[in-house]
Amino acid sequence: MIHARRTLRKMSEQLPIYGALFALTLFIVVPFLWLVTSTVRPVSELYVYPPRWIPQTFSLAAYQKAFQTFAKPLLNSAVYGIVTAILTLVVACPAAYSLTRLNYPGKRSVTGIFLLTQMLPFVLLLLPLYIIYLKLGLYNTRLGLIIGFTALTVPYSVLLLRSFFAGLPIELEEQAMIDGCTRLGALWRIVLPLSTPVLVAVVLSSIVLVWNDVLFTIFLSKDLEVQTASVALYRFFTVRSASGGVAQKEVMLAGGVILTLPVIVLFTFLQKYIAAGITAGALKG
Amino acid sequence: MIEPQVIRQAGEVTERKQGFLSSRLKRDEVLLGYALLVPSFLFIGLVIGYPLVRSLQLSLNRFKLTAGVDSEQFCGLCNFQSLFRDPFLEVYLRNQAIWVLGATFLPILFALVLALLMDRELRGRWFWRSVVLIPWMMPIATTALTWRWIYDRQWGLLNYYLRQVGLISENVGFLTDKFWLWPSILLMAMWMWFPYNYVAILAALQAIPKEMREAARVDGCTAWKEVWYITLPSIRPVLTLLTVLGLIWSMNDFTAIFLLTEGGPGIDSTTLAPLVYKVSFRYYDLGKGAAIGMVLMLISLIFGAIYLQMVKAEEK
Repeated sequence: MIHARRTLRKMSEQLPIYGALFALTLFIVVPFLWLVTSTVRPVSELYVYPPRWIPQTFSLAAYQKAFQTFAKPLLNSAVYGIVTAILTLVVACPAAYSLTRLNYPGKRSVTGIFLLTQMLPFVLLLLPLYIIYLKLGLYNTRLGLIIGFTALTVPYSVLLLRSFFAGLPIELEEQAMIDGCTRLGALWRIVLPLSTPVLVAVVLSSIVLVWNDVLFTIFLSKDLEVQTASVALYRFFTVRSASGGVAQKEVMLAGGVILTLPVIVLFTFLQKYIAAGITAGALKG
Repeated sequence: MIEPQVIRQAGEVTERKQGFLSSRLKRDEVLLGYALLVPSFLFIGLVIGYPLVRSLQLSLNRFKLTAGVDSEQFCGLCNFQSLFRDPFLEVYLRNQAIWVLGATFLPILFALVLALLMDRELRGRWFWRSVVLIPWMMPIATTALTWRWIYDRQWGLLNYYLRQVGLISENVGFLTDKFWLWPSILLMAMWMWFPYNYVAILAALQAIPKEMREAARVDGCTAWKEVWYITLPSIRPVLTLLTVLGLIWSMNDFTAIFLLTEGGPGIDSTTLAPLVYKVSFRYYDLGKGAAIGMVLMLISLIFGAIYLQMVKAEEK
């Protein structure tokens, strides 16, 4: 009885908190739910007034069309993401190791350069980059896009890896080197196996960066053939609305959901690594 | 018996040998140190370093593609002068101020309120936590598309609800109407950028020692007072850090506005980053475009320096 009264009192105290939380949550989920519910209906029910939260008939036709439209760009995104992630690891791990374990003049300035790249307005770089890409034959090529993405992910990854490597005990490496391991051997055999969480964080953030990028891909390529799904979606919704046609709205919306699903899957399975990435004191999230 | 002299000599020899060895080791270490940096600098040099230097050069040259591809000519600060004489400069700066302040503080404020509410024993914790991450997981192209659909003049959800509540009497074009334009843009910015701030603030809240709050409560502190005198002062470092980071990012951000409004209608939502693009790629004034970018970069570098100072102070 007393117990019941106490829970009741606790609940009534907490009621305003749950109420406020509910209101904020509503604001967070409504756009997402509205997006999803707009895609699982026939086109005829997309344009109705007043808006209907629950469609009268259920239809996945939009997804069928969206998969056809976005198949190639989705594949591009996935391939670029994975290749960029691998390339980033190959390039960033040695650099981060060099910055934590080796001594040479100019080390601080090098770290400064990596930090500086995180504060630049990237639009500023686009025009010269566009011109040099044209000259080098990298414009509108897969290789060119992957090089661009890697340059974007490397500085951030080096900073992330650096702060993680710095926290590893140096004794293990010294032991290995006394036993005849070279520096690089120590990096490969000792440091990297101990760094799995941060390596996963680097891979994950690289893949997500490529997946979400719009800016670089738009300016460094022109054909849908080589472009990523994010850009395909963007082009689809601007081109269509510019020509005044709204008939394909449901395909775009379904494409938007398809684009989000892989990110949700990655986040859900690798949540603890993301937290590790953030707490490692990185500059960018 | 070995003479002490000999032992000492042997010792000197090893010492000398070690000195020689270690200087060689040191040289190897320096070389290896630089060598390991080479691959990353190749990428950064091509994609960031070279374009940056070239932009600096462009900003000091008069170069309009409309005057010919080889019309580039040194002109000192002419591009900066032209920027400061631009009749629309006031509009751009006003837009930039609204955008940077709004897109920095609204997400932090929302994240703060949410984190304060979530920092307790809650039923269905897992559910609340996953929900909060939704905007973070949505690619920005999807986010912009979704909000454009919500803001749709004819079929949009927002028009319907605002009419139901009686705030508006007829449908509004949220992204074309002068009054609704910025609130609509900033609402999206708040929605998509609060999760990062939220995660950081919640982590800081959970690091506050429990004893401090309990002591406050024993002394008869109300919940409001506790937040004001205990909680907020304890997380102030995180809040300032997030503010500076937010200022840098929103200052340089191009994609959000480009995807939502393309800087329009007209120039009404054009901030400096989209302006760089417009001037260079649409008006073909490469010199002036680069100059605007330079101004933008200088401002963010000032904030960047502040950020680094703060991180350093934190480490101490």
